[in-house]
Amino acid sequence: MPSPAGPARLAGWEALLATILIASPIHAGDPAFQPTVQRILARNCAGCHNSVDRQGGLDLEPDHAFANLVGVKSIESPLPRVMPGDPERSYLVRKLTGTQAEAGGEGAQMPANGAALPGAQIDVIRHWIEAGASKGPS
Amino acid sequence: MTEKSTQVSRRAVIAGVGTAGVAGMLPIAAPAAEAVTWTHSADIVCVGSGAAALSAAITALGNGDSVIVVEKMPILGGTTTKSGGVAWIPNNFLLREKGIADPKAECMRYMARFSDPERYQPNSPTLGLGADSYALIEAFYDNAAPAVDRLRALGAYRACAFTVASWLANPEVAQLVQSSPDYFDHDPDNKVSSGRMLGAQREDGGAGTGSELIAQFEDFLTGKNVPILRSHKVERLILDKGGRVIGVAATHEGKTVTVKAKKAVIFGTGGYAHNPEFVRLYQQCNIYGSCASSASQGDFIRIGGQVGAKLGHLGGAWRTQVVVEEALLGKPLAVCAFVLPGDSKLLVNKYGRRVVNEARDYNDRTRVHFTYNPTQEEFPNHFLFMVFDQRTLDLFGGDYPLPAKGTPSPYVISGDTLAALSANIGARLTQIAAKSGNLALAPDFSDALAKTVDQFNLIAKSGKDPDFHRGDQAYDREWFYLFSTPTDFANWQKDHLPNHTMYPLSANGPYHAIILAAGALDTNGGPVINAKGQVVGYDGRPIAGLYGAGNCIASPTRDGYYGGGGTIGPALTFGYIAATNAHNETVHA
Repeated sequence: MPSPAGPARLAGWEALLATILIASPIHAGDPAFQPTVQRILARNCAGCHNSVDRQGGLDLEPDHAFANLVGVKSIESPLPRVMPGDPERSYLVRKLTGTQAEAGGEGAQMPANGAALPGAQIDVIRHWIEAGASKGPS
Repeated sequence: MTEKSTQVSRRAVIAGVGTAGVAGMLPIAAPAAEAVTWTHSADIVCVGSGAAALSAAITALGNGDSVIVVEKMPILGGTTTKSGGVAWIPNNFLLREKGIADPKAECMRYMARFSDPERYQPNSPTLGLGADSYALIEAFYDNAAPAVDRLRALGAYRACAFTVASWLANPEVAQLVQSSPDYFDHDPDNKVSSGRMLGAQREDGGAGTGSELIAQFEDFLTGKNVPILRSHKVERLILDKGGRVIGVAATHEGKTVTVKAKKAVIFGTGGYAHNPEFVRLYQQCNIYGSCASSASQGDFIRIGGQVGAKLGHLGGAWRTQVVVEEALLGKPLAVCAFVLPGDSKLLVNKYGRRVVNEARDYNDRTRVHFTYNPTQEEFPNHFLFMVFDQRTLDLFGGDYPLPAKGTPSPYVISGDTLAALSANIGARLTQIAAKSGNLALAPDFSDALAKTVDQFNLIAKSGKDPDFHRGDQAYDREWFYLFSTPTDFANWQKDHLPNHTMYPLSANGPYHAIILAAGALDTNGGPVINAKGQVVGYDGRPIAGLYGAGNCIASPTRDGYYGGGGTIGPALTFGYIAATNAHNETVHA
């Protein structure tokens, strides 16, 4: 059956990791993109945003996601997809929280199948951006 | 890893050389053997990475077989990862734990009637179905619960109860959900009309979606060091001299990679929703768009056909409506028009008339698009127009396909009056005429629409829809909430009528419309399997070493979408069946 509108919640190891990250002080460069944020995006977004489909001109496969996000201008809004240090000016966060219209964006909240990412996962992404949106170890 | 063997060349197979054991209809001749240098080798090779293929891979691993997963996309999960991840499993462990009996005889009648209504005979030993069709549905019933039990026992699948409320953010709305019934809950033979849906449970206890299901499967397989070959596109099968399938040849980064299957190859590669040629060849009417993975190109029709697989149910699909103007952009859709949101809304055709219960499930509701008028030689429901008022847009905006408040939507057509809306729909149709067979509104559409809305408003007030029975069935009332969460619940609840699925359209505009057409979650036709999951030839004999499951094969349940998870349930089950039987294949050298 298709995926519906409604709240998705935190899954598996990501829940534990998110708890750790949220509970921990934010240090410069920490948390890093790899592997945490990378994995959230790959598992929840790359079904559409991959190197074959490139929905919205966006490729969130693990090896391509960072270069497609950080400092890259979004197509739907004046904001960059990820502005290091500023989650609210990062269109990625706007689309995940459904606040894209207020930022001059358009379209639906992501993931577009209606199942919003759990708040804790969005927080992981938000903290990563706040901490400087570093790539982390390869 | 390299290993040498012999194979039948693709050219020889296509020419029918050396394939007597493959397909009895083909000429008997000895093939020209050639050496194969194997790049990889395993007992079982699973092609694809959705629910079917990964269920097979996990089952095979659990049986002690070595496994390789071959996926042509750079990411795993196929269409499953874009889905709700629900599996419809009769007699499942949760029902058993609750002491709820889901006996085979009654469930078989439900499935047989739903899958094959024109043949259904309740007193027939095969319920009126062909023996092969009956055997497939029986295999599904017999193996569905054991498949889930096995996946759970292995630690690969955290299954949980799924209800409509599982995904509702608003607890007040969730409280309105009672039973989360099957899609044909009102069939008298459906004795257990709720409780067969299983979700993929997140660690916090909630029900995840398809990405959670795939993540669980992937974590299990990677934890067991199962090789998963991404971006490897299987092009053909490799056969031995006797015609047995012994491996696959794939392309990866421009090079050919060969994968030896010492026991069997199991396909789970998806349907053909994104192959325009196949859609044109096999479907009665167009599939305007699909939320299937873009990998759904009908690979197994081509590859299985090359070795003489019998092809079946080619015109089938898991149906849903799609927003025409989104679909015409030509990309795989992220979401389709599954459960239509709102209460003050209705669907009309080009003549301005209602033609279907708008609250019916997506698979069955969509079939109304294929109604044919032999007098006019046309499909009068080719496009349907979802007409709604500002109230529905305000209350339910954000529930797809209604745009969220403040978010522009190029596919919403508006007008201050129904007449203006009609004119604007007509103008929009003109813009897309080249891609719609020049579909236009009937000359009296505007007047007819006004009458239809008047009539709808009367039945909405009465709560009884004498023509289409919208809201009569539990399905209509329960699933309505999944995509119809009021933004102002208190006011909506204070205002709504006894039949929640209907509300009169406002006397004053603006009014809006969205153009809908037939689409698909994916198609469900391809090589035919038997009850062991073996792909068969036109003589009915299995093609040695070749199995299939999921949307790439002729659907064992035909177009019967039994309930939520009516696609993934059979996919998981037949993946399990295939791997279980493949385990008993002799190991070839």
